[in-house]
Amino acid sequence: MLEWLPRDPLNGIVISVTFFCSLIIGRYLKHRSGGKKIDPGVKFLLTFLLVISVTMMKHWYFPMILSAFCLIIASKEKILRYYSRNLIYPVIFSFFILAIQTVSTSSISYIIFAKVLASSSIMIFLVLTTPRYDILESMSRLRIPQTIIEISSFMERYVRTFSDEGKTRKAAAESRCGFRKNQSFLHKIKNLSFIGGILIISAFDRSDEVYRAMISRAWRPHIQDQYRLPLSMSDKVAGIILSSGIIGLSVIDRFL
Amino acid sequence: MHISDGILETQWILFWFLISAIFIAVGLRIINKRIRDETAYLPRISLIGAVVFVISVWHIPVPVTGSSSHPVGTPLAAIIIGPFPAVVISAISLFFQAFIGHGGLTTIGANTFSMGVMGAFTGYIVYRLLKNITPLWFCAGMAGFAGSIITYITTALQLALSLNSQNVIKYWELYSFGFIPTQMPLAFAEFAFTAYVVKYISNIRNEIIDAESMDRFTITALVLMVFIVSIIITGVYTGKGDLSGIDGTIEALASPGLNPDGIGVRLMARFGEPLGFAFVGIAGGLITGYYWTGFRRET
Repeated sequence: MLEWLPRDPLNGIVISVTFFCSLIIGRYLKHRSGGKKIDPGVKFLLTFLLVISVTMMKHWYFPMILSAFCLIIASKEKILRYYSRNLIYPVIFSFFILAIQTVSTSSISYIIFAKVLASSSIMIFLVLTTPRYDILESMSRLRIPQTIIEISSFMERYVRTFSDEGKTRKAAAESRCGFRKNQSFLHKIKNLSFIGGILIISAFDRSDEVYRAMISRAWRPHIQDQYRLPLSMSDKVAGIILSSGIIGLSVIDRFL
Repeated sequence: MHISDGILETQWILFWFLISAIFIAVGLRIINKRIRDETAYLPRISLIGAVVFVISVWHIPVPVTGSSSHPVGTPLAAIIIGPFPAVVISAISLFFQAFIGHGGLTTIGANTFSMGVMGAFTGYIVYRLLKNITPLWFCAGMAGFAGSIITYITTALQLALSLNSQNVIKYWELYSFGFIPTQMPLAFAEFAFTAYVVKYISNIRNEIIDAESMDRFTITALVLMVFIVSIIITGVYTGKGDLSGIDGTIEALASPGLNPDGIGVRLMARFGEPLGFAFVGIAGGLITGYYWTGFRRET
């Protein structure tokens, strides 16, 4: 069964050393973290690194393996519908590029399709495993300007509110025959624009109320900047190991 | 039409990040200055940004095709909050949109440049130029139309530069033509949408529209930028096939003893010409801008 061992002992040594070292590090990580998840900031950086390395890949099979891996996890976690719905736009876009390339040249470059599929799958998995607010919070550690983080936090909080308000107003307009099927294009656009206009005005007015509420709670600009927790040792180790793995994957792809 | 992850080459990802970062930095500087003067500006710009983000993902009916699509939204944002803050809002919106499968993390720079920078600035400049000579609804509508068209032309250029660097002009045309069936009707829809929204807001709360304005220096610089870029683009379109330019003639006349293996030539070859030219542009612009006031005083 292990006839490859005496034939080329180097293979055996390499696989044994890497396996047992990884085993010890993995157990150490689990012990140190107590089973807690990786810091959102580290996860975000690793995602960025992985997407960049996928973008730089020369062979189609590595991105396809990553996509297949994501697909298996999605089906296991029963989120296949969400996963496939978010893949629609990137896939259409890559087909558009493939179509242009095919029309103009005889060769078809499937690598673009594989890269887009893999990158989008990785992004979807970041979203599924990390709340957006946690990513924004952890970005202060990545030296992203505090103003951007504060505006993003506000936007994140109010996008859903205004989206619901817009839907309510549209439903109200529809109940008053505002979007009939036989209405002209200009009439529909006009009704939709009025809803948009009302939303902008209400955002302008509400911002004053929000500001007063924040001031009453002793808020001041860049207040969050002072409460930055340091990165834990286990997160640092996990980040270094995983990023080494990603870089290793890129190197293997280059030399194959 | 946002570019997804995995499409652009790494050097172009970095290039568009670099260019967009400059505009975002200036936008942040303006926002921070406003926040220092008036703290209430932070929630205001954030909430208006949230609404513009919500509006930009609404499905609006598209004429001719009978389908529906999303407006660009950045020309409208530029009219309401100003072009530089609109770039910051656009970058944040693109970051959020990357999580729902529209665009990507690595392409935020490229998408911010096409939507945030080109879309917002073209829309704003068109709006400002037409404001005093045409009705408000028309200049706002034209801002929406021009912003939408320029966004897609820029996206097509970004794709051509990254994917087909050996024949950029041909592929730029191909990608642009590929976008026309969906994007041209959408641009007309954006014209009507932006025109009606701005008209409605100006009727109810006029101060929201006129809240922002740029100084004369910035407007002159931006108009000059658009003018020079338009001349270059027109030249590129009309002079198909022969894009050698006048570099050789200038080099021969200005510096006959030029060393072809100089540090500049080698650096350009190592990092790629666009990054090299971007660096020269940034350095030249920053130094000139920094010493501009003193230079004007002396002359």
